[in-house]
Amino acid sequence: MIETLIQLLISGAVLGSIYGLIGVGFSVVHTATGAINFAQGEFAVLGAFLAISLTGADLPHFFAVIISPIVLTLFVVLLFRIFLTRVADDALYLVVATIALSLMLKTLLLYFWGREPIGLSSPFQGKTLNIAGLMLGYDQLLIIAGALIAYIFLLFFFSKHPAGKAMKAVVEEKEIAMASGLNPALYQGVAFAFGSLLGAFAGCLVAPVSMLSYNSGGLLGLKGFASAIFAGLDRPERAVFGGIILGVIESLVVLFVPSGFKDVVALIVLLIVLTLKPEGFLSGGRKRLA
Amino acid sequence: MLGLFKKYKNLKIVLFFSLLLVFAGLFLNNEYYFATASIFVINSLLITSLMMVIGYAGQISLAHGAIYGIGAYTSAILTTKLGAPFLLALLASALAGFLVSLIVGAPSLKLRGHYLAMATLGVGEIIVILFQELDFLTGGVNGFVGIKPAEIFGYSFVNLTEYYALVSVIAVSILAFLAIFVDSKIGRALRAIKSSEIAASSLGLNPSFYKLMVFGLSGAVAGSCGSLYAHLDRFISPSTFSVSFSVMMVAMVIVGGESSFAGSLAAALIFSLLNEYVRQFQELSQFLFGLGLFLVAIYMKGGIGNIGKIFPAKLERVKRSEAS
Amino acid sequence: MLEIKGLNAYYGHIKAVKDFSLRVKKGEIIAILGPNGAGKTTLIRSIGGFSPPYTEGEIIFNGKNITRLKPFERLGLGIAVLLEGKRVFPGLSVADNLFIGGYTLRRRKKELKENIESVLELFPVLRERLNKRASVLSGGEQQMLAIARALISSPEILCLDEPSFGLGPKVVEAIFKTLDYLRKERGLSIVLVEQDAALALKFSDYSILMVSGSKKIEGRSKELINDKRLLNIYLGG
Ligand SMILES: Nc1ncnc2c1ncn2[C@@H]1O[C@H](COP(=O)(O)OP(=O)(O)OP(=O)(O)O)[C@@H](O)[C@H]1O
Ligand SMILES: [Mg+2]
Repeated sequence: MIETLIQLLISGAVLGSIYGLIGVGFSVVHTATGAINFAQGEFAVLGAFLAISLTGADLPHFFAVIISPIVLTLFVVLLFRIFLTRVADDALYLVVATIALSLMLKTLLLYFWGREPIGLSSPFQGKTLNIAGLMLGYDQLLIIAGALIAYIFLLFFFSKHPAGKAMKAVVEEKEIAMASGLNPALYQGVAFAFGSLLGAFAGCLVAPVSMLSYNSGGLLGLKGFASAIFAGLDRPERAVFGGIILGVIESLVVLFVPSGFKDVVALIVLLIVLTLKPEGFLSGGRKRLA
Repeated sequence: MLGLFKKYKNLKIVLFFSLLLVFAGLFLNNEYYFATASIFVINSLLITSLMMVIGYAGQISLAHGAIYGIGAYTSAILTTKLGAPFLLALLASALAGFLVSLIVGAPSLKLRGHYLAMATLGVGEIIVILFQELDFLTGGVNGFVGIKPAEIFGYSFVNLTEYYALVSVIAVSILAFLAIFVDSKIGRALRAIKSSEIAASSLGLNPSFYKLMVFGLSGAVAGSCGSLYAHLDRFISPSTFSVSFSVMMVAMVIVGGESSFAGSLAAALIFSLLNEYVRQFQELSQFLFGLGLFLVAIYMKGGIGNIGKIFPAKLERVKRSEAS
Repeated sequence: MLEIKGLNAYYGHIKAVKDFSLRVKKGEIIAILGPNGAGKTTLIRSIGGFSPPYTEGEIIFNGKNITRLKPFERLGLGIAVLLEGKRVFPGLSVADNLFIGGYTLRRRKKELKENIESVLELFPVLRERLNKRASVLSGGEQQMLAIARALISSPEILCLDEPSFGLGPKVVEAIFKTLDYLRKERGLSIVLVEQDAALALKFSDYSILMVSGSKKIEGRSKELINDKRLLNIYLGG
């Protein structure tokens, strides 16, 4: 019994790490632009599908998993430079543009990769680590490691790295930041690109563990957003923990309700946070950035 | 009579729309086309009802497809499982749509803009999951099969031409009601609230009440649409009411011009024609509307329905960018 | 050095600055005076490149036409602006505020460090509070931080919109002394918007009185101190 429980906790934490990674993307974009990127879930699926196609073309797994997010990020950078920067200051229009983007991406995913769910076959398929009787797949370990690395990186980025400080400055007082020589559009673009990089990376990590289809992005995005808002949109790195908490709740709930309703749980958490405490539960008294 | 059209200017558009439906009825000669035309009529009404929420209440809802589904399942269950008459089921669908839409709209009292969009997206997704999982009621992912045809006072609308006529009459009546509604006192109050909530509440208007009213009304209409749809194909499945469809509808409303009757109806028409034109890949229209929405968001903040206003908006943008 | 030619600035149909021309020489301090709503803030924002929605006219800096440049490009050329009201990044530490002020120098580490050192010498209070968040500083300290931040990029010209607003006389005196020192030692040019006419006249070389967007009176500050017209405009003219 205890063992099943721990096993459930672990699988919850694994899934939650994915939500967290996607959620971090939401928070980073929100921090810099005040907008929510509704295409974040589609970026995750697109990242996974690109990697699947790359391995299908006989490229090594690791290569595919790294190249795919980079390609996607370059695409997003272009997209931002050409189009989105025009509305970067107007959160509402930026949101509408990302909603439009999600519609288009979903169609493209369907057109190029078909209707059936697909997975990424990783070289670690079936390989597990046995720690005191607990089974942990290498692929699952990678997911948790990915989330932790993202957390540490962001913590460092926002408190120590010049670009992180500059991004915070742009969000806090845009005009003073401009007067200090910062170009807000640059940081908004960087945030957008970084958010999609994380989303695509999360997609690549989850694809070996669970199959994705062209319309998986909606739910993935919503859960990512739930993680982010649970943690507080102004604290990007904490979305990782928001995600892990959400994943654990989700997998424990399966003990009580039919597994088909599992997804409802995350959504209800989202609604509760949105209506009760939209500034988040892990945001810890700090002044809100946006 | 003419005075009516002057006072309620959207009635002209509804009249034009009904003439279009009559002509289509005379012109079409094949059951299949009547099915397509009926879907067009239902979509027109559905999109117009969402336009009310976006254009007149100034709120966004990404759960409209789900509410449409609530209407469809309500009607299917009532007529087929419980043997209720069609008209009663239609009313019940409207009521169900009304109630659920109030729930969807409730967060709008507290949340704004994209937070509201996310909340409604969440509610919409929950409802669709319920359609999938409550399979003893809904038939689950495989859908609800064998819905009874609509029957009014013993007359069964099995023939699609006749059903098209029924759908058209109901849809045009509701559209006419909406057209009168938006230019009534209540409609004017809504516009006042939309332009400035603070100013309106200082005039004694209660924004929450009016916002919820529009959500409710729009939900009732969407629920009715669901009922009409359920008895058309006589088969419904959760995927029809997915969040993607809701997003798609928002795209159609905004591309059509967020508070324009003509724009919503035109968007529905283009959607139907596109789907008819490329039958192998119906999602193409999704892509095109996505693209349309993208361009509207970035280049003309106001929709194609407001084409007259685009030019000055552009001038202002030039001025601003020159200055900054 | 800085030259404004025939500047008009509009908010929609409102013309907030009307046909305004100005020349600022190196090491010169120019005071802009005027009642509320005269257009002083709009003028400063236009110099900094911040949008009052629409401007006409030309702004030339060191021979270069900068009229169409964005604020962050202007800073790179040597124009620093302290906007009205807004002072610091409240959530960032004092050290980070200074760091952002020198962001354009971040690759030239040595120069950045020296510049930070030198402004900390000008405002020793800041050194004691380097790790505090800017939002917990007092109003005067925040204003000093704002000026310090603007100085780190070693601008050639500093435009200040009401730096004394809400501060006690002691702090104001300290700030103005520092500005005077910078002008003498480094040849910094200053455009200063100030409500306290007596103070501004005493401190500046040249003064301009704006009324509803236009220049009303201008001249050497020493001569204007005794000008009755100034007094009239301030006291209900
Ligand atoms: N954002 C704005 N939109 C429209 N009009 C504005 C705006 N900002 C300022 N104005 C108008 O422009 C004119 C000049 O304003 P400005 O802020 O430049 O005056 P000021 O001299 O700085 O006044 P104060 O001494 O009160 O700071 C005023 O009539 C004001 O009403
Ligand atoms: Mg001012």
